[in-house]
Amino acid sequence: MLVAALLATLPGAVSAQAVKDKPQVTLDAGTAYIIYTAKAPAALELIREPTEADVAAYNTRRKTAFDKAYKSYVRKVSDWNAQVEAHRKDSAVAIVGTRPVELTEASFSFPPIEFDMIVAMGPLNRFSKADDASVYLQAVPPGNYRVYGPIFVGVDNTVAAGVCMCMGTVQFRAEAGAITNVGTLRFPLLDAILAAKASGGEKPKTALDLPDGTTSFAIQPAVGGVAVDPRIGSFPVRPAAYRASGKMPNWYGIEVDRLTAIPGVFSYDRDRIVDLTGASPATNH
Amino acid sequence: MAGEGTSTSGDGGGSSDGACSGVGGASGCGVVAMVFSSATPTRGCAGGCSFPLLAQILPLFSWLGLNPGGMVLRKWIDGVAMAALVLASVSPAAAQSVAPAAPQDSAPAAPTPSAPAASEGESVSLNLLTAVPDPASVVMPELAFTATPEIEAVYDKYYYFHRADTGFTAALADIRECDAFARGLTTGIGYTSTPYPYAGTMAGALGGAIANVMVMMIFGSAAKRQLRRTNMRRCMHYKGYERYGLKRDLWEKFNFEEGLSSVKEVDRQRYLAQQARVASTPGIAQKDLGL
Repeated sequence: MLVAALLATLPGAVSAQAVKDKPQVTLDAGTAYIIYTAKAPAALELIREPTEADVAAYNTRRKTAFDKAYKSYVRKVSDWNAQVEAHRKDSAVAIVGTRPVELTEASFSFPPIEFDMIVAMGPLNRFSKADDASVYLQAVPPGNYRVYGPIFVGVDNTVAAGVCMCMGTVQFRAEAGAITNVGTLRFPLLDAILAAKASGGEKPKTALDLPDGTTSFAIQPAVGGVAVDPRIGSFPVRPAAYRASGKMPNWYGIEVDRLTAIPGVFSYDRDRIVDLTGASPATNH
Repeated sequence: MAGEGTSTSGDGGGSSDGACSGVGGASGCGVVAMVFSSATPTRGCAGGCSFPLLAQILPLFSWLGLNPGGMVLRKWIDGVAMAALVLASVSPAAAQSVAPAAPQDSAPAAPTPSAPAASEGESVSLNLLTAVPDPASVVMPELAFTATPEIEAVYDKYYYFHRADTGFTAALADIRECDAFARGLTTGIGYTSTPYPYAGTMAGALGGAIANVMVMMIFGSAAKRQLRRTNMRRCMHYKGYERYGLKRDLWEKFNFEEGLSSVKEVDRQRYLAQQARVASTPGIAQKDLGL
């Protein structure tokens, strides 16, 4: 499908391939896989922690872009100086525009490396689908992944819809030769609306109406030993071992929230995320 | 799944019952719209499809709740087409102001630290984004008013934040961080948690700018203003601030809305400082409106 093709054309993007919903699937022992379930079609954006090679490639791209921009800046400054000199000689000569803003490493605007590390899953390309469960399975590079949120991302990151877990989320590692099971994505507002409909109670209008402690997005961690899909066969399936992960920028300018706390994994002290696993110190703020 | 390959209309997008006054990711419940909109699929291209290729991706947008009545979907089509033209001309280094008739700076000046500002095309001093003014120099806004049902009815829009035992500096840092989240740029954010050393705080400006362009063109000013309110309320709530209602004309003295047009950075920082002054002033206690 067109969108899938567009998603695959992200420059520098990590190579991630959805496993198609076919009667038989072949999984590669040298590849890492991530799987999740949701009640309905749902997108999930993950951001892989860059490797040293990723950083080197990114820095090269950034330097090339900076050098090009700096040449343009120098040219503009030259033009500006020529204008000013002409104006000094003849005040009737108008100066157009303003002095070019100095271009420095600090002020140079360039997409962050995280944009190269995006793994976008769903809402298309479900591995299996039923009335009450959509399962997504995707081959991904091995590494540490942060859950950025239930976000659909378009080509070159120009389109993003969803909610970012910018104020607190989790991270996990996906190893080669195994399927890392993220668990079940939950949308508490949807759950609350459905519950209100069933009970005849008042429906919440937005996620702001949810009770304290419940945010717009939650993950129910997977449980080990539970069969996922018979087509997977004996390929190892491991529940994601979550750790707390701190704040991230709202790169897309979309709605901001944080992941609902997971007992035994992390909690919040005001806006500070507290890791409960003992695997890492509390992060950020 | 029923919704696959189809588009939704009517109440399929989670916008039913007034649940989402915005749309998609720009609304208060974009996530729910995303998973909710597969409930009532109707095949076709609501609102007409001017571009055959774009028509192919419309079913996907139905999942995002972008078609509560067809209008939004049409805006999407127009927006994507316009964005393609706009984005083609976007340059990471294009941070200059539009040339005015008269020069703002008639002679080359010594370089000053500058940063890509939140408002596209505006460059501002880094000091402006980080300087902490003397709270005594920050004008304390008027907060006293007599509440009426009409005033209370719009407390979801007009309010201020306050947290006991909080100093001005801490309050300003909190408000600036939330403002950075709300405006969708990394400028000013305390992004210290990244475990690798190359995540520049300014680097996201381009991505944020592009996303904002899309949001503006597609969803319009009202949705963007609502998005800012949602993000500010949520962020400050998580930080432990209470929210008190305020009369609109008093609110307008030290707050701003941000829709299609951005607020000048100098004005923004003045407003934020005033909000921090209010948030940190001891002795203020009203009915907490909560999140």
